[in-house]
Amino acid sequence: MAEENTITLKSSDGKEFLISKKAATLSETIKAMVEEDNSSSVFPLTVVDSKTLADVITFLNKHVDCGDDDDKKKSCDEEFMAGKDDMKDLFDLVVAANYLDVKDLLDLICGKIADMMQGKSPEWVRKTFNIQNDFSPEEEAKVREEYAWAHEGVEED
Amino acid sequence: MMEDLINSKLPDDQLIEIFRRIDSNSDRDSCCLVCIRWFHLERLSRKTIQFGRSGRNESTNHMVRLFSRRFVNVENVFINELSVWTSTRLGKRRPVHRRSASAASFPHGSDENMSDEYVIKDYCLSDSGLAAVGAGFAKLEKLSLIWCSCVTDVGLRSFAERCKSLKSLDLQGCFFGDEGLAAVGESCNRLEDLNMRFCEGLTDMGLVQLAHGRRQTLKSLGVGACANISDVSLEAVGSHCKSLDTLSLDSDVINNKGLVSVAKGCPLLKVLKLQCVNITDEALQAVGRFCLSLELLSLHSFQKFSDRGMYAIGKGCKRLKNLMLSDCDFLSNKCLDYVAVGCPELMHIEINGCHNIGTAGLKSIGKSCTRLSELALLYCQRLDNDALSGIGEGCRFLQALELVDCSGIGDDSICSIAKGCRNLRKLHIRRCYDVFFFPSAFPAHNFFSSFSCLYCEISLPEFCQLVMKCTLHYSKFSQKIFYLVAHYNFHFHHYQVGDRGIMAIGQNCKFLTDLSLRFCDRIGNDALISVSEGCSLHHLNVSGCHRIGDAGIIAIARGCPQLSSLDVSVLQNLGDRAMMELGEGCPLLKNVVISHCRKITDVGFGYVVRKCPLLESFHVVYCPGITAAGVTTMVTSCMRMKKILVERWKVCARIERRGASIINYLCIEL
Repeated sequence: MAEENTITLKSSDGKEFLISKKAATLSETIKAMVEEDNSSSVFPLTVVDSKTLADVITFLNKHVDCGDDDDKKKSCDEEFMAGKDDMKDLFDLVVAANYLDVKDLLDLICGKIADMMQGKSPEWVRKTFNIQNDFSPEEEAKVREEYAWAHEGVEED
Repeated sequence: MMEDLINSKLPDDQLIEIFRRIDSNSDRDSCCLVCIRWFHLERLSRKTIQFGRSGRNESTNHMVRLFSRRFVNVENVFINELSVWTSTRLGKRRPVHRRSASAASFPHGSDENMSDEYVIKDYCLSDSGLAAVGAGFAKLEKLSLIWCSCVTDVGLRSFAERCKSLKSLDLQGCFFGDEGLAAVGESCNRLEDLNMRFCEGLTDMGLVQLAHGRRQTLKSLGVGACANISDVSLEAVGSHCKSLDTLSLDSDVINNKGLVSVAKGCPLLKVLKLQCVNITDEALQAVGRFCLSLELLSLHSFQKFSDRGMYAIGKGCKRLKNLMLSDCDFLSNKCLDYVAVGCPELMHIEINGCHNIGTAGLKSIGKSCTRLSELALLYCQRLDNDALSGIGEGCRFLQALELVDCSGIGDDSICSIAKGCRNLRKLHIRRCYDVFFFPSAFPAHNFFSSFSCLYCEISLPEFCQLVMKCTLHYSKFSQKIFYLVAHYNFHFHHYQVGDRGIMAIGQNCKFLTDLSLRFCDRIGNDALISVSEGCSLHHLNVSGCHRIGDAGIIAIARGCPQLSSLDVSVLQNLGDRAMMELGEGCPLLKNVVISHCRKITDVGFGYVVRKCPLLESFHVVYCPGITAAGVTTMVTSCMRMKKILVERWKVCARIERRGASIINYLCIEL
């Protein structure tokens, strides 16, 4: 029997994770689930696999410990991101953060991916992310022309 | 071939989230070119667009129509046509001066220069263009029209009729009249925020109608330099707009009557910013009596009120958190005592050039404002050596302290702060004399923008030469008037703060991350060594502290691995050893200024640029030891660089092409 203030999250591949209610409800989605169904203590998350869920839980636990201290959060986030270089993991985390509705995590991971694209050419981005260029040469030339143009007029965003 | 994970894993919404976090437009444009899906999604991701004139031949109207089709989710539109006026012959009739609204005369409708005006009209936003903004951007919430002089009431009315989602409207230097504003009041029924500056065509009639129409929604009103908006408007606001929470007034014609009505009628007022010469104690007494929710009060350039007004504020506004007093010469130490005792929630205080406020006033703050977190004292000449001892004793939550040109404050004060305010995160001490000279003439708009970026990068003789050249050219280029505000640091007399104070900070304030000591000529290596032992700095500026040399900066390099911005300009004794240690010890450096460091050569410089992969900006003018080869190394090895400031002759042709978008040249030639 789980304690009053912990719940169990079940990943898509059937693994179970124990987490404090306080940390779990940093996720708006889980919060809504818990509020809706007060009686059960196991919540299946069908779109998040165990590896990603473990990461998300690490993040939630860290953030609960930090409370409202932004400086602490920042250093926690740095610690959390250290060594997270695998693209697949990052994309899985974005999907999970979005599904679970954890804004801080979504900000953090999207920011990291955006940083990778900052200051890079389209060719570099294609190569790094293995993206096929599906523009025809004519289309690409047209877009390039359009944007050389647009960039001049639109100064700030 | 590896799999394309980003496109297969991420749905549209999440790719858009990522694009939104890319800061620069050029990077976003690059993303558009990656593949067809990204091209479409990136267009959906833009929320803000600014239309400016950058020497293009396309008219704003045309671009509005084009972009409204292309970026359908835009919520904020800024249209700034100031440069149209400043870069043409008409510019001379369009003053940039911010304070002289009454003296302003505009080119609109003038009979001479008709031909110029005719041409300009082709490029500027027209009535139909503004209507297109309303019709095209279906999600528009915020519109700013800055010096859009070709738009009239007709345009504003058709815009207002089409744009029902508008929440915020900012008008600056436009020629709308009352009809246009009244139309906004009628049609934009979600309008919360209205700002007007330099709108000479507007009178009370328009604003009264708007206040009447938007009585439910209007929350924030700003009026600046509108010569025809008087107490009548404010009386209407006071009697209709019960939900107003922010009011900002900069006016020579508004009197007590208007402000008293607002104070009586708008009990939710939280933010009040005033720069009105005719307002006296009477109005502030009304504020103190009726605006019990007031949280921020900013008073600028007051001639007519005294401590009595502040007494009322202290008595009534118990929730006041922010207080800014600037150039209020009739206030004395007593006023600070009233407010400090009366407003226990005060967290942020800024005192700027109020000549009758001295040490006793600060003692009152220290005694009563136990929750103070930020204190800024600028140009307060009557403060003594130990003026801050009260703050150190009483304000233990102080996080930020800024002192500008308070030359009386000395080490005793800083030691008290160090011992009492252990939570201090930010300490800025600056001594400088501001030299304002204007109007001055420049041949091109570009010149002005490049100059303003490098205001403290030139030496005194060059500065004087520049002034002379400006004066000589004045008659020749008189149609191009710009106000050049040059801050130049002169070494006139000594600043009191020295090593003893800063060493105490290093020993006591473990949370300090942001330290700026500019032109403090009593501060040397010992101060920095102590800071490096006690604090992990993120930002350090020791520009012009000429006693600091390699030993101090090396200590910082070894003790502050988190350092991200560093300004060591004008340190004549700083050499390559310090640079090499910085490269080793501070890999997170982003912004560096080493201008006027004559001993640094390519060796130390090259070391830093190779070892710090995050570098984004670097200023290296007047460094004779750094050559074209060093600059080449920087451009080729710093992948994230966004801005370099360097002499043109140090940039070879190949590098000039490659770094065109990030290199700024030192330009003092006219």
